[in-house]
Amino acid sequence: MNLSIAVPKGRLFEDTVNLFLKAGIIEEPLKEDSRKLIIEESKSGIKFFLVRAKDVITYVSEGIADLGVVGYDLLVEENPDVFHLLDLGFGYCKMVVAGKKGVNLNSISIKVATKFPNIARSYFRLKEVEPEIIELYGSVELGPLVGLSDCIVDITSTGKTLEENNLVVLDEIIEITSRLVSNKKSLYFKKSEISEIVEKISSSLNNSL
Amino acid sequence: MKRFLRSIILSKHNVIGAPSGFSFKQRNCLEIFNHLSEIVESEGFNYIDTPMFDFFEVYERTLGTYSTKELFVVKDESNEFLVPRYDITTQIVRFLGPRINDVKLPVKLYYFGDVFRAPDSEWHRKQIKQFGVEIIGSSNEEEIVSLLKKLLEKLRELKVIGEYIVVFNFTVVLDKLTEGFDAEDKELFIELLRVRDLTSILKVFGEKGKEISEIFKEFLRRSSEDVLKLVLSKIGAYDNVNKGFQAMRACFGDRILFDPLLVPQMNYYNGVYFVVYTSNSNDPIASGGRYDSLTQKFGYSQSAMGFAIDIP
Repeated sequence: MNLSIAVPKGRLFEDTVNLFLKAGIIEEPLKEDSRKLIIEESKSGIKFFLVRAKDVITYVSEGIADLGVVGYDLLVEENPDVFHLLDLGFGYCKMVVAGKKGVNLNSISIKVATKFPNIARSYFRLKEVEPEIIELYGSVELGPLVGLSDCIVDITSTGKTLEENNLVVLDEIIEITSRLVSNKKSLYFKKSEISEIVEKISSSLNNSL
Repeated sequence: MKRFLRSIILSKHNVIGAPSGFSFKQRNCLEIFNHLSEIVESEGFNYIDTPMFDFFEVYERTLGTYSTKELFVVKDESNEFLVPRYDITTQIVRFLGPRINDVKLPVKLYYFGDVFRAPDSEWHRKQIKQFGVEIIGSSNEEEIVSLLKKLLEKLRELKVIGEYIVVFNFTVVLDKLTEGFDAEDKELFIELLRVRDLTSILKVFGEKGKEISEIFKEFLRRSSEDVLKLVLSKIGAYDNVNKGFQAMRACFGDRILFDPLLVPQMNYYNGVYFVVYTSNSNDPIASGGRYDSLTQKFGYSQSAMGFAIDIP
């Protein structure tokens, strides 16, 4: 099958590999710590690119990979020109606003630390607040603890990291799961191959689109 | 190391590159233009050149919110908002407005020039060289579709494009699927559909979402003919849709794909609309459709249709 799939390393990797195994798309598990960045499934001929979660969008929207697995958080943040084919259900978490108890989210001079500046800006615009956005790349929870920001906008699944740092969820923005996405041109040029993959994944998810 | 530090810290370089989305090219597009213009002139099309800048209001009046986000906007010396032309069809339709009673219909025009778009993604081209044709005052869809085929075949012969596929839909399909929606809901629905975010459509629009999911599932599994039957069973029998489908099939054979969830790039279409993808480019190579309603925005009412080819 002349297809390529971008697989995200990190949080979604294990669930993605398990789903592909269950759906019969791969026969042997892909290994996250493999030094090989392109893995070809010998039976089907499908190529898998092991990339950073955020880069999945780039590989798919630029047509280097036909398909990819990516969190809905990144799709909302980046709004890339791709098709969302399937909700894969795993990787569930919530995009939340969090901070110390009692933070006034309607303050006109609120400072927000986040990895998701577009989502944060849209959320506060609904409140008619133009926040000062401080873009961070990791450990966003540190922001309010050291006075860098008043609150954070980030994903949380169990809430444990927030709790351990004496932060609370101040508001929930959106629910997140992972999605199978496709390049637009690929869907049209390789419709039958992509349809086969979608069918296999759908049946293993027991999810009729 | 000193040279590099001078370059990064003091911004002292010998080379100034093009801004993101713009580039220098040495390919002679005029040669392609000459080949294509020879074909359209033999079919009675006349050349038109349009202004490089136009009033913001012209595009604001005709484009949806999604497209107006992609406009570059500048001010002239009298503080008037101007837009480097985003779409040449709009300019031509507007140009004909005051002259429509004085010209012999149908008016058949072609153009070649740059359009400027500011997409979200830094990867996309912001200056696009287009060759386009418009027929105003005729409802003969076959003429424009067969001309599209001739031009695409010429581009293949010139090795400008590879294999291609024409993906098309009809505005009545999306109108029927959004019947009863207010303007804001319709806009949200269409934007979610543009990326096929069916999960959000299901959550936000309930039953309508289920219908869309079913259509998408059938689109993936079935042939274009079967999808057409399914869609007509849902929206009602539309002769124009059936005829339009047959015309595309007759012209392009197996190179067509009917996608009932395809969202038009321009919101002024009111009939068949299409995009053409080619094997050697990630972005569509051409797009177009029927746009009678655009003429009404400029004070007259005529059948009109056209397309633009983005020269790679």
